[in-house]
Amino acid sequence: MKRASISLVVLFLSVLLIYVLLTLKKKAPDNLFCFRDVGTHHMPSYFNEINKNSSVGQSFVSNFDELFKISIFISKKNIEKDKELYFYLKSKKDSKDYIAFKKWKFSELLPKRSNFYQIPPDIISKKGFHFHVQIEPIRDSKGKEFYFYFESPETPQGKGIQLGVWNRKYYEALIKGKMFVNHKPVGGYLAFRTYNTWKGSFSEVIEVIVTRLEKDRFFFLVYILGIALIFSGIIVIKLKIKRMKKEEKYAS
Amino acid sequence: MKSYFEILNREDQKRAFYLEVLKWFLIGLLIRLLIMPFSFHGHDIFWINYLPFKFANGGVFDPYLFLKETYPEVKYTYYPPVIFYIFSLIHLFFKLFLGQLNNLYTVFEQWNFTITGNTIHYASIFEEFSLFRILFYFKIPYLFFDLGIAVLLLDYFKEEKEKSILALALWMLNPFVIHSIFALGQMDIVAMFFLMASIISAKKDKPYLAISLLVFGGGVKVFPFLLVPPMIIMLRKSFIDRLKMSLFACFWLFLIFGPFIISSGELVLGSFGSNIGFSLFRKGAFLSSYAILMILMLYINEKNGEKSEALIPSMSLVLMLFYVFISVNLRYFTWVTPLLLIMFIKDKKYCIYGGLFFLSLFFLRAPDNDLQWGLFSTLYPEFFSGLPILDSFLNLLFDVHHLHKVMYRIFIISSGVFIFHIIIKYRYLTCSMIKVKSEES
Repeated sequence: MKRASISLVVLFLSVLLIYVLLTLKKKAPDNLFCFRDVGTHHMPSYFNEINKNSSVGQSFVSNFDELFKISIFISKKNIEKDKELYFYLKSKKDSKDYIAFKKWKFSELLPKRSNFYQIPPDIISKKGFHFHVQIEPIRDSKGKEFYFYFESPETPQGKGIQLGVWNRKYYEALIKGKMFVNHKPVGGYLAFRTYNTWKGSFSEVIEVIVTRLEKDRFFFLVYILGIALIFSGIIVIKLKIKRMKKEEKYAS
Repeated sequence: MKSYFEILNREDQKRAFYLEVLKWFLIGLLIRLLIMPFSFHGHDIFWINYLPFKFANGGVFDPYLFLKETYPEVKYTYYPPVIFYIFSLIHLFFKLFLGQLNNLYTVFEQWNFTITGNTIHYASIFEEFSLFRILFYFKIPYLFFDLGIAVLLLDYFKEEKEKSILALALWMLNPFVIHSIFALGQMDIVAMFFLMASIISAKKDKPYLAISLLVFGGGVKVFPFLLVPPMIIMLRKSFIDRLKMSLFACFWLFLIFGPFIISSGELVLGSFGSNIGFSLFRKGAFLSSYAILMILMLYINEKNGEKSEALIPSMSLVLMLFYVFISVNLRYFTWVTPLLLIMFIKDKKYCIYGGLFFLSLFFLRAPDNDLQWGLFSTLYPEFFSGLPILDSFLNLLFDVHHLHKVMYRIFIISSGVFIFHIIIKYRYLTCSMIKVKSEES
């Protein structure tokens, strides 16, 4: 009876596990990796509206390769829901070509709480939330300057999306960058974040780890010796304790 | 049933005990060494060592004044003075072995005070400066204080060999210490050492040494100051004695903070951490429950002559109240772990709380790659900082927010039950002691 109930529990758990794994496989994105590069966790101090008279943008330098997402703090107060917002990403401000272009109806700009990449999740406050724009990963983005901006040419003044602005110098990992209004530099920074992904193989991971360890070969050698010494010490002591217990067992 | 030590003869008993102690020391050391050179979190460990480095290499004697004058735009200040004293001395020694430290701190100054970054950025920009070696050296002092606590725990249970081995084993495998101290690189272990040394001194009936060590711990991290009033109440009975001990504590406080108050005024007081933002309600709830607890302790102490017996539960109560009403994270919770460990060993019924605290806090307070895989960014920044965590997958099945809420409730409820459990247990203890005393008389 007991055996049968244990078998049933094991069977149930196995089925559950298979179901969970299959569900996860379907739902998980292709590239599982994501990390945050540039960005602030602070709430924006004020907002800049995007409307027919005003486009708002920001330049930045990516610190890593495979840039694939930008999020921006937006407020949807007093908007006209059927109007549209355009997003442009360029390699340089004056470049004519776009790396990415996207457009949304204002009603489509929603926070996404349950998201594979947003761990920990973004804060959704009364002021607004972070809206995420995902693009095709840019392979060699490390050290390169980018410029993104938003336009909403059909939106009357006072009815547009507002972008959060942070006015202090202190900004996480932003080596170089400015905020722009109508493509002209202004003070402050947009409350934005950039995210990168990672693409590579297991052998590449091992290769990079070994290369980094080899940079201080002497330290690593002494370290490995120390670890080996401690490990063998533990084994020797365990054997001694085992022998003592055995001897005592015989004696008693 | 007889224990393993009891069936051995006296000579073998001693040998077996020392072998067990050595085994657990080595196991603990191995775990710590495997983590030490490869992990850190944000700018923390470099910031802790920055001003002691400036003392050893640039003759900076007042870190608070130096920060104010050199980086006036920085809104935070350095830790309390004792950590500066200890680490400055250690840096005089590091100077001989860490040639790359100068270069590392030149880059650190650029990033920390203007750009700022996360673990991944520091792991990436410090790659060329013997990062593994520097992290390893920076954590060596932690190792000494950590092993010091292990020795103090052995000393606490020295009459009972089985219990002392258990205490040592649990300490060496303490997940909070391994994560917060050796993986994150925070220095709370130094304050914890002074707290434990203070408890041992109280147990050995050296109350003035105990209070001095506790105040010294407060000079490392502010939390031991919360434990000064309960210690004074528990160790002294009359009002005059308590006043004397309070003045003695103030004398130590002045000795620690005084030089900096004379040098740069109130700047050092910023290290008390007044920038911790918590609501007025939380503050009020904590202060009123703290006051009630002190009154309760006064009552228990009036009825009960036994001091060190109640010292550990009283201190645990204060810290648990802090976690419930003010703030809790894995690092803060590390403070109470040596006290809980002693309580768990004395009474196994408490172990259930340990399990609940562990489960709820690790689910609740490590929901970020930065606190998990990201700690090992030194090995390959983009790979380790980008790896998904359990929460990422759970988020595909349901809103992981709900799980965090459940875990928070589990922590709050189990802490509340734990607090009442201790209060009720010590009420009975007091009653039984009064009974015994009246029977004796």
